[in-house]
Amino acid sequence: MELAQSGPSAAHCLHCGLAFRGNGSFCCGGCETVYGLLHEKGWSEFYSIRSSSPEIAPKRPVRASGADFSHLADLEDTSLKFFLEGIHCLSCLWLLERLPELLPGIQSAKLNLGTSVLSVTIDKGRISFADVADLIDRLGYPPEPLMADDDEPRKKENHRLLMRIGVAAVCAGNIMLLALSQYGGLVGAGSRAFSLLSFVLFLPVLFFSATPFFSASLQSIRNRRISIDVPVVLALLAGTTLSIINLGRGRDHMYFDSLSMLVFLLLSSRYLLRRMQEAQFQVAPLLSYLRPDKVTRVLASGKTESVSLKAIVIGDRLLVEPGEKIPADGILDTAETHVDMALLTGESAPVRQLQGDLLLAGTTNLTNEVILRITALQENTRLGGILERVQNESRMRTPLVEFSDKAARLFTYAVSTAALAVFLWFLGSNPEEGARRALALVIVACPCVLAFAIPFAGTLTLRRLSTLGIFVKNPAAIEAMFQVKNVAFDKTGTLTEGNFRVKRWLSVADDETITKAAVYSLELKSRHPVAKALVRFLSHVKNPLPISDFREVHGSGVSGRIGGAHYEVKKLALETSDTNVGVYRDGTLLARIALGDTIRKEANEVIHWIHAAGLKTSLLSGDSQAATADAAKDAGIENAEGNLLPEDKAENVKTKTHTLMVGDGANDAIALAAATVGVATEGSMEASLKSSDVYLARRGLYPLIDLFSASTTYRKVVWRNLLFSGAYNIAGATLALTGHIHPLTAAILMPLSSATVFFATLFQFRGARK
Amino acid sequence: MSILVFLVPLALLLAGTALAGFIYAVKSDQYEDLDTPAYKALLDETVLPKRKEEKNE
Repeated sequence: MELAQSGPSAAHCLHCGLAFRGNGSFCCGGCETVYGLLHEKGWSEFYSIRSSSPEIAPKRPVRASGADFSHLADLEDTSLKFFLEGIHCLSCLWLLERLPELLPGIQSAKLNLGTSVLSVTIDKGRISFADVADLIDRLGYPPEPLMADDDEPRKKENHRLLMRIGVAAVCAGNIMLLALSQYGGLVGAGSRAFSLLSFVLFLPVLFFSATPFFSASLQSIRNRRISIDVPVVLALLAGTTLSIINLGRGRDHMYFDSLSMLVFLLLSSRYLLRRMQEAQFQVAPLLSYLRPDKVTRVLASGKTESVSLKAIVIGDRLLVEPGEKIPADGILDTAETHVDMALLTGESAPVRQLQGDLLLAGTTNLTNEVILRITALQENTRLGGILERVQNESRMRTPLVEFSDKAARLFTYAVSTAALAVFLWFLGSNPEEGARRALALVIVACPCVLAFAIPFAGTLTLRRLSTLGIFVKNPAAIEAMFQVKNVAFDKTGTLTEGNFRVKRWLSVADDETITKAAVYSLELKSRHPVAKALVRFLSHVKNPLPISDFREVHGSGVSGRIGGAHYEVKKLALETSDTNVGVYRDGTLLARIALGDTIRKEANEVIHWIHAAGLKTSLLSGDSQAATADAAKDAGIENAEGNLLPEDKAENVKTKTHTLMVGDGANDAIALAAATVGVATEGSMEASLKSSDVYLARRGLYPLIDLFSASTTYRKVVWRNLLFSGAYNIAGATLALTGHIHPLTAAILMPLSSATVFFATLFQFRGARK
Repeated sequence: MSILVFLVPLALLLAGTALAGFIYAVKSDQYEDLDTPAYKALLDETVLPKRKEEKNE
């Protein structure tokens, strides 16, 4: 969006429609390529479809990522799934499903608009997936190959559930039809035949459709816990026994209609819930960020080859260059290196590793080219374990879920006891009536609302947030947000843009050219925002000088030997609003550089919103007190505390109660972990996964407002669901016990109440999206 | 009433047919992606020669 600057000289790109400055008809080469490609194929229809799709608003120029996909060439499979970025409309679908016509050899391409996953099948003899990925990339959708394909079991289970619903629907429908005539007054031989027929139709429901309830109940009983499936099974067994007894005694009081309807509606509402939840857990694209898919294997001959990580087996030797991520756990086979373990330990200082040490997947090799002997792969690595935990945690029980679960269990016991009591009460006088009331009670009392509604609201909240570029590690974080009273911000990169600019260069000694060349050469090796700013400022130097003994000290600066002299560039603690850096040669100050950073333009608005929500704000920074106070004043933040080390920030967060900390996932890891809710901003997802609860993949501070609004909505929905469920159950149970509800009515009411809650919850989130 | 002897099996037959159709739909993955087909209906089918190749295979 930042790119869309429409000024007086702006033109609109012929392909993507984006306003841009400059000459020609296209904003970039990528658009020109696609435009050419489409016209060459005679597919200019693309543009007319697109202009009729109201939802499309191109947000960024179409540009190939230029990534190298050659490692996909040696995949054995003939079908592969890609997660595509930038899928937003009908024309994407139109274009991507025509891939087989664009590249002969692609047999089919199917795009799922809901998940942005493209499934491609190819003819291995003609092309490889590398070609496919290249083509998709050229079309402007950077593809992310999804390696792990454990889709099959999920699909099978989905199919089984659907079949169960189908069978239950058909049987229940027909049983209802038969029962209706009996309710209407059919008697005698006809009624008897209908009773028998409904019994036959009920069998598939009981033995096929209802099996999930039986197995779940069995399991819960084995674990000595009562689950909400137990009353369903109880109702099924009691109802069936009663009906069979009546059938045997030649009386036409059947409960097959109620029971089959109950099974059908319950299964349907579970299917609905399942679909909703599945849509949430699209973690695969997130995981592929964390380790490379493509690795360099060292062969016995000493030669290297580039292969997919999928092709690696335990015992293989892999080459990892400095700056690369380590793809799998392995023993270091070369002398030594430094490794950034921030992802696994939260500690951003490099760790020295010697030959024979175990290097872990997902960490970054920093200093030397190394060879690893692989000992564990994929989900067996330490990283795999962590990710599994994170994934499990995201389904973790939150305090509210725990509470509603306990309530549901208590409720289930109460209902079972009450049903037994009412049955025994009537046993002497009118066992038929007692059985009917007990059955109606067991059916109508629905702990489903308690047991499902809250996790469902959590799921929807998480899903809505993920579409907004906010990744929440677990729903408990959303609940923890209810208590938040203070919001603490990190300064550099969080409240500010993180783009340093050199404001002043003050030479103290006279040999400025040499100084500049030395600074350029040193800073070229660092990735710190200040270093990047200096490199940008000095880009005219072009030829870096050779450096020996290079060292980078986190939070301070860089140093090294150049031409016999020891140069050092380090942070100066001056009480000004700028970041000051000094250049030293053998301890003598050569130059002083002042760098500035700008506050995000939305900062004021967001801080104002937070204050309006009744929260306090503070700014925590490692910079000088003056600089921090200045920035806080500009942004409208109440408190400013400067000169803080990462540990101090954590301490600060702990002393205030219920703090939400917004900061850089790597540098503020300790503070984020110490906060009630840690919100990590872009740029360090790896470490964030470990230390914080929320990760903002979208730039800027606006996501904070979304996060707070989502948590408020969640709270509202949860309480409303609880109230509704309480009211419904008390009313239903009373009516059933006093004999005012027939089991059939109960069988319809109960799933209806669940559905009401589901849809009410769903609509709340739909509405809030706008 | 004797019409029921004819109507009830007919109802069962209809239901059976519907069930068979449903099972076929499930097995051919029609319930896997519920979002995309809604959009596909909006696209005009352009007859392109390459489609034949797919059918031959």
